[in-house]
Amino acid sequence: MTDRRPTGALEREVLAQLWTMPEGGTPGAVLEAMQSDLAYTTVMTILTRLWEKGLVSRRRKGRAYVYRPKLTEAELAAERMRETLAGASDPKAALSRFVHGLSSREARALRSLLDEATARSRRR
Amino acid sequence: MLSAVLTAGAAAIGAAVGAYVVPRRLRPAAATRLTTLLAVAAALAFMWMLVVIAGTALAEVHGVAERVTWCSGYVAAHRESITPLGLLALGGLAGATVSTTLVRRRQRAFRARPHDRELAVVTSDEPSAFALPGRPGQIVVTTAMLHSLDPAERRVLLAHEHAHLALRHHRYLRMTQLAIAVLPVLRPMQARIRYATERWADEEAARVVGDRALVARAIARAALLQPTAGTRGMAFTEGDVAARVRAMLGDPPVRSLRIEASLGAAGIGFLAATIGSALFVHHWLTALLGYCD
Repeated sequence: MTDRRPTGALEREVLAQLWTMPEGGTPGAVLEAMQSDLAYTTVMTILTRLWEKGLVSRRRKGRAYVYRPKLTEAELAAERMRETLAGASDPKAALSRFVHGLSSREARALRSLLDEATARSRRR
Repeated sequence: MLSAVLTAGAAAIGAAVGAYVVPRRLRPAAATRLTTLLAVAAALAFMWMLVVIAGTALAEVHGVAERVTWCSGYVAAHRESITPLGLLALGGLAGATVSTTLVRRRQRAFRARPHDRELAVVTSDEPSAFALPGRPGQIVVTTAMLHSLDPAERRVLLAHEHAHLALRHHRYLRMTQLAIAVLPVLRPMQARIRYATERWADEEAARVVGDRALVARAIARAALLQPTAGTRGMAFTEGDVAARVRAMLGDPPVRSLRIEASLGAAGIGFLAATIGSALFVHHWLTALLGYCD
């Protein structure tokens, strides 16, 4: 499957991947962790672009750079927003969250649905 | 005057019923748009009805009748029936103004700032992800959510949140919330718009990653990470997440042209009725100016 994702989406995915690697990662490490079929050069280009935008820091390690996500004002502002949301009396009125809390009955239903979903998505 | 009120009233009732009638299984994009259209149409019709009643009552106030060149003879003749209803309508309009102002203020609080970057990761033990509307808006994800999902599921999450921003789902939600503020009987529409836009973003994510079962898996896994809600959570969340997962395990929704077209036509029809009622009152006023001079 050729990857035709728009650059913005790829940048977000690579940045998200880096955030799970707080010690940092080289392009090779990031590529491997992402388990995607992107080209090495693509990942390298994206990391460079993220660095140019000031979203990641980097240091040299041998021939490659090790990239680390940068905690910036944007993250702090987002944290404040999240706290406001958590304290809001009616969070459902404010924003859509990806998922929300479940009742135990719904959790049970979801577990069996998850088994089915996992079986189907692995079988490609 | 009476026919204007009746037309607007009928349009309000019809559009509100129409909003309730939008099927849950409809294609999510259509469900979102139609529910919003009908809710807004109902609210506008209701507002207009209140304006007509209140306007007629206002003509009672000494001095106003002369200044707006209203036909004071007509008003004097119907004084008894107009005043209490007029007061009610004025109260309704005041209430609507207050509640829409409050809703707008709360909506403005939850926005991304104009130059915020498109992805912000918050360090936290709570798995959470949401999209903040704005230009271009911002996706906020916690480290716990990122760690708990595998890379493929993360792609789903990001594609889903990005879809909310790119498709401007917040606009539909906000318009519906304003309609609810004017016409509280529409309150259940908020949950419906919420569900429809989540389904819409799910379908978009499935289109991007090319695997519906993967989207189902991502939703289910992310949901099971959340702490189990107590009784308070149940009232709002019963069945929604499971419904989304089931929908992803099923076939993509197909367009049902007949339902979409008829509901759309109804919504536009109710809006037209309200506008027609407004024009009619204007015409009546103009005729009256000439007659009562």
